[in-house]
Amino acid sequence: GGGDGGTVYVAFSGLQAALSVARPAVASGADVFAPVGLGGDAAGARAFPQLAAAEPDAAAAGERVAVQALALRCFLKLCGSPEFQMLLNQIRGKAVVFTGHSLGGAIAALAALHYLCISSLSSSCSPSPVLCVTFGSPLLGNEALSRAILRERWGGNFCNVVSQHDVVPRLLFCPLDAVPVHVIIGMQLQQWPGHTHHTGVMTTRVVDAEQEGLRQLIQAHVRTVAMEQKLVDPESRGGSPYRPFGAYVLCSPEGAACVDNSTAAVQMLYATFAACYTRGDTTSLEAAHSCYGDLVLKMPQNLLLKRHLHAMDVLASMSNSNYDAGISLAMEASGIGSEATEATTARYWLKASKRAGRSPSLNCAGLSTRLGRITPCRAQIEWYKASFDADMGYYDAFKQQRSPKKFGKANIYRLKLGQFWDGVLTMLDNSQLPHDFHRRAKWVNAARFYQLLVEPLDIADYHRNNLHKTRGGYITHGRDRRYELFDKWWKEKGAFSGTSTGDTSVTATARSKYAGLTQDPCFWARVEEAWDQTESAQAEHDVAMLAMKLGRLREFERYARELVESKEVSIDVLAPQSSYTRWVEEWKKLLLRDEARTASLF
Amino acid sequence: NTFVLNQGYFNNRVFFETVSQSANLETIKMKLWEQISSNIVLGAYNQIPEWQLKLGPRDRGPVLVILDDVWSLSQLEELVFKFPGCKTLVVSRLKFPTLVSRTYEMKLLGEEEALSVFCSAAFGQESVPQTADKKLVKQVAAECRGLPLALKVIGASLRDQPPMIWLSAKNRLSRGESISDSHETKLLERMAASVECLSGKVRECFLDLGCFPEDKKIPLDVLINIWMEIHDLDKPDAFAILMELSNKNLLTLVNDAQNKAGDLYSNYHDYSVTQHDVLRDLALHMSGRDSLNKRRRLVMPRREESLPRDWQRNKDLPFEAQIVSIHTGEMKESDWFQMSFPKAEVLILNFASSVYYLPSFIATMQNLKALVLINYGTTSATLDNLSAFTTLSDLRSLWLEKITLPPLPKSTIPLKNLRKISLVLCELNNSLRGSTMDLSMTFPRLSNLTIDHCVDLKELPPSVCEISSLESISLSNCHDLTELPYELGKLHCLSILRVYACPALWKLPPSVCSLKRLKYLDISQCINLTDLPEELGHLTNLEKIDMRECSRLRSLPRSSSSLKSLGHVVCDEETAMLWREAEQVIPDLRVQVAEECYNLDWLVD
Repeated sequence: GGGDGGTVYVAFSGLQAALSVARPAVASGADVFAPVGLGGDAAGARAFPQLAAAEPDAAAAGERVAVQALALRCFLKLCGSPEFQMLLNQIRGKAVVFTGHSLGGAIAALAALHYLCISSLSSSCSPSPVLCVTFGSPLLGNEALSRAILRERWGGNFCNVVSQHDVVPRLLFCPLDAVPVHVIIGMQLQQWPGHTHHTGVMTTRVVDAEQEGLRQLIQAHVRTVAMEQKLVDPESRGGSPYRPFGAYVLCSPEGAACVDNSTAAVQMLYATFAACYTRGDTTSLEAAHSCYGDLVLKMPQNLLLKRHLHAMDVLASMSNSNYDAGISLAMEASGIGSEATEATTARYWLKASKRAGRSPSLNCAGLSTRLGRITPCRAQIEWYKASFDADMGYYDAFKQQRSPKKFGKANIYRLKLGQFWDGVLTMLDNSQLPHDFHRRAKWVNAARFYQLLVEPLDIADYHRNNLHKTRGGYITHGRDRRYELFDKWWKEKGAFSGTSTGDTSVTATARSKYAGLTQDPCFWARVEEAWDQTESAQAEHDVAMLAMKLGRLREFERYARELVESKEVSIDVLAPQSSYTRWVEEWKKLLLRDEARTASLF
Repeated sequence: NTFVLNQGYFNNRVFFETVSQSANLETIKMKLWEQISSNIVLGAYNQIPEWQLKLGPRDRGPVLVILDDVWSLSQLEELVFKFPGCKTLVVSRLKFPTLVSRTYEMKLLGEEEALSVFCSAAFGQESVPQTADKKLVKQVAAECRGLPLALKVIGASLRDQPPMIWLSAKNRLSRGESISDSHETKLLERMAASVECLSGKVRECFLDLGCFPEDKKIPLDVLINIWMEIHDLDKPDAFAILMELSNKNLLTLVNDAQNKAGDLYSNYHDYSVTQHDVLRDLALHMSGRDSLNKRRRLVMPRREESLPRDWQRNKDLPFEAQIVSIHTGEMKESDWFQMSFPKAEVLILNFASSVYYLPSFIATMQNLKALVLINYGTTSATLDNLSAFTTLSDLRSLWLEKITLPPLPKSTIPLKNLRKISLVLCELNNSLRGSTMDLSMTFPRLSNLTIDHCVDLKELPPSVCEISSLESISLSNCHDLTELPYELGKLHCLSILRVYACPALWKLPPSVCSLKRLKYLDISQCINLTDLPEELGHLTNLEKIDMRECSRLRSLPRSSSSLKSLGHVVCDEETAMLWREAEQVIPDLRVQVAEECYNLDWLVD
């Protein structure tokens, strides 16, 4: 580790890792680089709680988050050491850059992930800035990890520098049992000044024929992955489970081009590699893997050079914009000539990557404006609610479509708000919004307010269309994803503030008036369930079953009564014609009947 | 009239003049000019040099001229000075949109103000005197509904009257009758100016307004339609009359109708008008001068449980009314008696119940052109005695509101002349479910079909596509409507297609693109519509598209650039971007970004 002003640099070496597998002479790629599920490993789950707990993502074909075995083992070993824990304490609150070359980069990435996990869980409100820069590192995790990182909005914290000729970053696209472990280990150890003196280590030089074979193998497999990616169907995926995440800087002697989404990264990893291969470049594998020092030194020079497009490109881009010219420059910098067969694909993906480039904070600002424009819809629904407060409550009015004109308006507002928030979540999933978006009070509160006001209407709609009979209960089967997320945000927010103000806040703000909105968004779904239960209890003849049903109803009755007594419900719940008020009446009748029945037994 | 003016700005140079109807304009002009210029003018007004009038008095600062009680545009044109720094404030019962740049509508009086105006007319003091029955006074004043004129006239007519007369006045007012001849004549005298100066047709149109129930919004569509039928007007003329009455404050347009209803393609059923009770009473009174059987409009002024007794008394003779308006609660077979309406062209049945027995005299109304059934109850009503419909061969338009439509049997007798059907807040499911009837046989000439707020409508019966005479289809606020009939493109006469505020609609049938005559397409607020049919560009006659709040619509069909007649697109900011390409190709295209507006009118039923 080293310090520079406010920034701490922590560098990792892959040497220990290499040595650990260099000893057993026969190590196959399938063992060393096998993906290990984070959730399955106790230490792993402790180090990366969010990632281990992440639910299987539909987009990742239901996989769990898994990372490369070798890197995980080394990291966990390191993590257990007191030195590392001390280091973590020292760097708390400072800007940190984790870095490493080759296998060391993979460990650095795990360390950065660990640091991000623990600092986002701790109570400090603004996590300190973290950057992880890897040089020529092998892939670390599967598609699920890539998605999880996107969801946590950590993609921007990772930067992977890859040289055009380097095989290592592209190695894990191959099927794992085909990975020649000794080559990697050999290249790793070569960097170590004392490697020649080390006994029992395998040959250090890779023979030319083997080099060529390895290149072909890698090119073939990266190509497969790149092709498969264009097919949207996740079922058709085969081969290696590993996928890139974070930003990729693709270096060539001409400069560097950057892409920031994983699809584009795969495509560019293939295109750059294939381009140099067709050019007939024959740099040795070792040289390609150890050239990063030179590349980094050259980078500032490249920036200073005044760039000119090749004559052909100039002609081609005459009619086009500066934007196209910029893409052409990026192509050149990544080492793909305009004559290469991969040029068109590379061009497309560079464009795709640049287009998605509106910064998250800019998106967020735009979203605030849109929130402002959509808020009147919410106000309108509040008016709608108020107009039924004295009568049957807005839940029942909406369910029965009372006053069709009012219903119509309210329904449109409900749908518009739903679309708005779904749009927000889509942006969030695509990491187009700032990483701490779901912790910003403004958004958490707006989402909560929306949820408390509108979810009852969604529940009403669900029951009006009898979906609870065809699909199952609302809470388990009918809830929109947005509501579950907003619940989570709200709970997390409570957890944050809970540490500072403590439990006193609960007692201090005991309500003197009924809440503006019922604080349990699913309250009405529970009322509906209670109605169903009551009806089935009324028809029940079996004593044991009846007792069970009554028990469940009693539980609900107690829950609802407490909610009402603590004034956590809005006035509409207690409206004279509301289904809750009517249920209470029904429940009393049922109890009387039950008492009469039991009395008659004795 | 009381004004609070900032005297400081005009530095006491404020000149007040009451104009009134029969004013001598020459004198007023002269007087004002003398005051403004502080000069005595010798000779006639028109001898003043033009330049003096144009430049105004020198170095005197701003001037305010207040003209009270102005009655016509021509008067006003004469009296407005146009030199710089001169402002004119006009107080009038009419609006002068062409000359006056800003109009401030005076509200009707509030309860307290109304009472003090009333008291000063009735007792010569501003509050209720100790000796009077405070409650009764308040009730009578309340009947005037804040209209200053009525307060004054009625107050004055009750001056020094015994309590018995007050009580009868209250009762008569609440029944919509005039309290005494003097009240009637005075009110008429004062109002006459507004009404009598109307031209013949406009006056008749004003009187028609009395046929609608008090305190209810009158659907603009119904009103315009009735005017068109019985006064032989075409739509623009009817609309012009509407605007004239509105400018003279004889009716009020609600729901922003003023700005929007004038649009060429706007649908009128979204808008409505209201009329002040006193004006309605006036209309009723004026059209009730003839004897019952001779009246042109036979109207029940208030809702009653049964038909009026004097109708029954006169039922042996035919009624010559052109418009018949009946306002009741529930009606059973026994509540009706036979009447004969040989000349009736419009029948308005207002009621509030869940079952309604149709009067059998409908069958004898050979000239009936428009039938309006409006249910003001909370739930939709089922109709009984449907056989009354069978002989309505002349019926041209039908408006049903909050009615459960009966199933249409195969043998339904065709309504040969029916042009227009409007179903508002109706329940249609029973009627449409499993309906195999050929609608084109039942409604061979139907040209306008409007379905609004029918929440249970899931789809239109496919046989709608066989009614080849259809020119306009309007489906709105049907929240369960998911699709339009597949063969909609068969309607080769269709020029207007409105499908708005149907949030469940997710696509338009591709055959829409073969509607060669389509001029107007409204898909606003179809918030789940994801794309438009690919061949939209074939609609070469399409002039206007309204696509506000179609938030799911992220792209336009490539062919949309070939909509060569398209002149106007109304949409949101996001969707406006989609039209950018087409805008460059279609020469006259104007893309208008609509402002979202929110109001609380929808909360009032």
